[in-house]
Amino acid sequence: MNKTTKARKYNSSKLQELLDEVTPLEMEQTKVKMQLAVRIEDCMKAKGWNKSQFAVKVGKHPSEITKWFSGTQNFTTDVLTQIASALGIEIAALYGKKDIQVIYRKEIVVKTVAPQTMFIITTPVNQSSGNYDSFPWKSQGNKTAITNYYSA
Amino acid sequence: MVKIKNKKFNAEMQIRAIELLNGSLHLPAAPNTAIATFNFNIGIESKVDAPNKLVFVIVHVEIKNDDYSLVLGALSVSCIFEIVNFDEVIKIEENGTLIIQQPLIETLNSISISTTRGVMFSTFKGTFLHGAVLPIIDPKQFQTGSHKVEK
Repeated sequence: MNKTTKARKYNSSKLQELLDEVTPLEMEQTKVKMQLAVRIEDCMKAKGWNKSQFAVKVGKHPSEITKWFSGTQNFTTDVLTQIASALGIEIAALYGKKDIQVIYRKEIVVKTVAPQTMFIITTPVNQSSGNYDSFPWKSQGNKTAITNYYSA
Repeated sequence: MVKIKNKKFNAEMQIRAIELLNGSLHLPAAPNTAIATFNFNIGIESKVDAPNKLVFVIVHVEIKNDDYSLVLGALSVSCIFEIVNFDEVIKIEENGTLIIQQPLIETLNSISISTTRGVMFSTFKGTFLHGAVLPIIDPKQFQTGSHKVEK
């Protein structure tokens, strides 16, 4: 009998109720805050600073930095300017806007007919010796890699 | 590091990284039925990080069955190239528009597609997509109407 394993779906009415209470705007606001926190931390790490060093650079207590990185901080423009200045980047960069431009985009559709025995993974082990009866790769049977036909 | 000389461009580049962004298999309802024909929807997107002289070529491959009714698998690979002589082969106009030569795009796309083919084979080997090998693609198919992409 074949046993199939499926991902278990978890449904919770309580969880759904909570999610329903969150408006799309609130969801977006939380997302932006989290992304901002991650971006600041990334920039800090890129500079090779730890939290204490970063705190000194921005003139704050290290506990304040921990709070910033929690993703719940509602930053003011002044604080963001201060952070960007300390990191030597523009405020826009804190919002994830990098100097990356898309220069090319293309969609291609191709078709292929897959030959059933064209690609065979084989083992170099000599299976005819009889010592490898339990060798897991023996299931390849007498199939041989096509490359072998071209070997000197 | 490799120097690629062409009549139209002379680029010195190296691969900085190859990243498997995602890969998925969708087992069909009747897995024992051999799938003889595969259709590949390939999406190529190139991005440039000018300050770091990097070009990202992201290849998305979607494998579909014969009549396009089923998505059998998908894979995305990002090839990150460092162009040493970036300023020579990619021009940045005052308004921020990037001008990249078509032969260079074709070269980067060809390398990325080939890399994706290898990653795909390695990822799907031993599965029902074992035989879904990405076909060779004519570089002419990479051509677009314009070389310019607005910022």
